Parts: sequence; C-alpha cells; structure tokens
Amino acid sequence: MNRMLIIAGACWLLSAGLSSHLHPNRYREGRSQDPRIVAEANESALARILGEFRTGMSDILFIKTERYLHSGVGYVPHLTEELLSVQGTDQGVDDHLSEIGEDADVFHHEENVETLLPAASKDYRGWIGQMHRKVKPWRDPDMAHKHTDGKELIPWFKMMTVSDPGYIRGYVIGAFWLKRYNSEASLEFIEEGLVHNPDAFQLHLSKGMLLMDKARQLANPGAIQWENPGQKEILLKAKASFQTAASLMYDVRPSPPAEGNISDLPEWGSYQETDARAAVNMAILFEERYGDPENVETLRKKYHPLFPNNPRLKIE
Amino acid sequence: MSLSWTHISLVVKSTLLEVQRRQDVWVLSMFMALFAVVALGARLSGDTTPATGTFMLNLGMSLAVFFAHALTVLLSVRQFPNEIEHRTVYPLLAKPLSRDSLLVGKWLACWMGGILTFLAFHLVALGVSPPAQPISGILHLQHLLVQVVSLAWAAGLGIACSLCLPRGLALGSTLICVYTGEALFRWLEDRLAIMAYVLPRFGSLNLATRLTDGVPPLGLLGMGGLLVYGSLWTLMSLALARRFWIWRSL
Repeated sequence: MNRMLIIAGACWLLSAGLSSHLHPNRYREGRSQDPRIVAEANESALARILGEFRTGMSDILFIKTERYLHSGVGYVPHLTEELLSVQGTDQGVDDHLSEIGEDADVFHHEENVETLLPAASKDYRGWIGQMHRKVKPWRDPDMAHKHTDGKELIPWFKMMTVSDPGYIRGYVIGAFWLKRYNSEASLEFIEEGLVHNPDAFQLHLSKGMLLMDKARQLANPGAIQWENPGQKEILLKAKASFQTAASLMYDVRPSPPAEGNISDLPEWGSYQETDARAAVNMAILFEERYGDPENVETLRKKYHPLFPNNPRLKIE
Repeated sequence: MSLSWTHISLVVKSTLLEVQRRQDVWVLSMFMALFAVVALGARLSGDTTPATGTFMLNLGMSLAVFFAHALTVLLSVRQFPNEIEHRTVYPLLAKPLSRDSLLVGKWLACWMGGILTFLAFHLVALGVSPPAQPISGILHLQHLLVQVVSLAWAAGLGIACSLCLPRGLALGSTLICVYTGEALFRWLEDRLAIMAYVLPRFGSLNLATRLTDGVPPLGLLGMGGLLVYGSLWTLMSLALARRFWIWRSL
C-alpha cells in the first residue's frame, strides 16, 4: 500500500512544479480592469439592487473605501474620469483631506450626488424608508458630504490588491492616500504593484510623482531645487520612472480614430490620455534638466506625433 | 486493484438516487433560483447595459462554480462516514463488492452529481442573464472542461479527507482548500513561493472571470497545463483515499 503514498507524493511534487507556471487569471487587458466599464455597471439599477455584491472582491473593497470616506453613508458611485488619472487621484485626495470635519461650510466637489438610500421626497416606501434611513448611516444628499481622514481605508487598499494583484487603480489610489501619512510606505506600495504589473505605465508615473514629492520634502518650503544634491539623487530616480512610463505608454496607446477623439475608443479613456500626456511632459522636463539636449530632441521627435499640439514637444 | 464496472455502476446509481432524495441540491437550486429571478427581472425590465449583462453573466457563472463545488464537497465528505456510521458498509462489502469498486463508484457518483449541478446552473446563468458583451466560444469550452476536472478533484479530496479526519473537520478542511487555496497562493507567492506552489489551487481552474472579461482563450500549453494540474491533484486525492480506505479497519 505504500505504492499509493508514493503515487500521491509524486503527483504532489509534479503539481507543485506545474503550479509555478499556471497563471490563467493573470492578464492585463480584461474588461473588469477598465474603471469606466466598472463605473458603467455600477450605475445600473441592477448593481444598486445587488448593493455591494459585486463580481470582484477588489471592487467590493473599493466600494467599501468610498463608504469609509463618507462616514459610512452610501452615495451613488461618483468617480469622474478626471479623478481616475494619476494627477486627478492626487488632487482628489487633497480635496477630500481639505474637507474633513463635521459640517464644513464650503465643499469644492461632490455636490448633488444622490445617496443610495433615497431621500424622503423620493422614497415611495413611507415609514419603512424612514426607518431604513434611521438605522443605516444616511445624510441628506443636499447637505455637504461628511468626510473622514481616510486612515481607516488604507488597509482596504492593501486587501484589494492582495485579492487582485492586477488592480492598478487600487495601487495608485492607495499609494496617494498613504503618501499623506508615510511617504516611504507609499513608495513601497507602488513598488509592490510594479512587481505584479511591470508594464503598467500609470504605476511608473505614480512612482515618479511620489519620488518628486519625497524630494520636495527635503527642501523648505517644499520646492524642487534641481541642483540640490540630496534632491538630485531622488529626482534622478524619478526621471527614470517617468521615462519608463512614457516609453510603456508609447507601446500601448492606440492610434486615434480617423474621426473623433482618442478617448472615444473603448480601450483608451480620457484619464489614460491625461496620464499619457503627464508621462511625456515629465519625461521631457526631466531630460531637459538632467539629460542630454540631443536626447531631449529625440524624445520630442518620438512623442510629437502623439501630441502634435503639446508646446513641450515643439521640434526645433 | 480489483474493479468491477458492473458493481461500480450500481454504486453510482444508488449514490445518485440518494443525492436526489437529500435536500442539498434543492437548497442550492433555491439560491440559484433567487439569482435567476433578479437576472430575469433585469432582462425583462430592459434597464441594463452590456456591462451590466456581463456582470450578471459573470455572477451567474461564478455562482454555478461555487454551488457545484459546495455540493460535490458535501456529497463526498459524507459518503463513507455515513455508510460506516449506519453500518450499511458491511452488507455492501459482503455482496461481494470490493473496496476499490465502492471507492471508485462513490467518487464517480459525487463527481457526476457535481457536473450535473454545474451544467444545470451554468445553463441557468446563460439563459437568464441580460444581453452581455461578447465572449470567446473557445474559452467558454475551456472553462467547462477545466471545471469538470476541478469537480473530479473536489470529489476525490472530499473523500480522502473524510477517510482520515472526523466528519466536521474533513468538511471544513475540504471547503478551505476549495475556496481559499488560490487566495492563499497569491498571498504566499511573493513571501514563501515554495509553500505557495504546494497549495491546492482550485481557483486557477475557474476561468469564469477571464471569460467574461473578453480575454482571448488559453493556448494549448496553458490549457494542457491546467488539465494536467487538475488531474494530478485528482490522482493524488484518489491515491490517498485508497490508502486510507484499504487500511481502514471496519
């Protein structure tokens, strides 16, 4: 009967050897990784009926983070394309943090967003709806949103990237939240994302932006001093990240359609175009500062056909 | 190994009859019916986009995988402990029915029960989901094929665990392997790769999300690798089950 144990052991070893080569669910170009399609699905009545029961664990966790940010109140998903870009994310986090508090008077964004639990004027359920609004966190949609500082949601970003290491949005947004509390940890988080997604140009762009931020912290009052030795060391790393981002973007950006806008293409949203422009601008800016003038011209020639109206890409 | 196909087919038939009489299938069917009501409502109301249709299709296919595995594990884990507890194993073996035939028959019955449930639920998901974005027909077939292997593995693992562990522990261990193996693998892969590779990865045999994501089908090597991987684990589970079953004193 020991023969059975030998067979079992042999199968186990062979399957372990095979396991290292099997990654059928690790791919990049899937629909679920396009935030616009996820947003489209989330806007439907059906997705609202199903509440948080979404297909991907990472999406469930992402929705959780929105609730944490709004003191537990569920609002209709209101991520605009602008907020999906790397710079938009950074700005969005700043906006949130500037609006923490009980009842801030001025809110710069997120006005007129409906709550998932409807207001009394729009709720046909009468006293049941009234009770629902009492027992669940709820806030009149006409009132300014009550924002939390976002510390509690940082672990959720970690969990969503553990559940789906290809969830680039989780890495980018998580890193920019982390940056506010621990810049080293934010860089580590982006590095973790790069291990799983080495070709994601948004992650390289995010890394460059985070490194720039780190360099800024070395100066008072947070300015970039290109020749400051301490800053220069970090900025050179940022330069490498921006150039990788621009080069990877160049490989994946589709050709614009004959008529219409490139962001009309299903595979390329306006937030990706914003990131693409940022990657090229930063790559050239850093090459101008630290590189060779000939390289600057080469880069301009390379990227000019993509963005012919960009003044930074003017060919001499 | 002494196998009689007549005996095996009799064991399969009687076990499937018992499956039909129990409530598990009907309880799971009720859950699937709930999904069908929601999906049909969405389909009939017309308030859906192709993205929502894809989401519903993915949900339905994932539920089919989830429920079919749950049923297979529930069936496989209780087959032998029930026979031993009710002392019905003695007349069975006295028929004369060899221990190998009983083991293979029980395993085949659990596997077939799982396949039938999976196919029925999968068809429900396809039939009631609102119009979705296009999916690859070849990848769809690949998904069905690897799920068949995955259910064979789940049935074998459940039987092996039930023969070496108390019933509750066997059920818990098998369910943990089936539902959390892939998540544990992902978590361990960067930290302790050697430990990660020896874990059972049922999740790698679930191509539902890849399918609804509009990703191209797997190549020959990728598909062959998955089939061999699932088959190796099934063989390992059956070898262990046989070892525990043959050595077990009744």
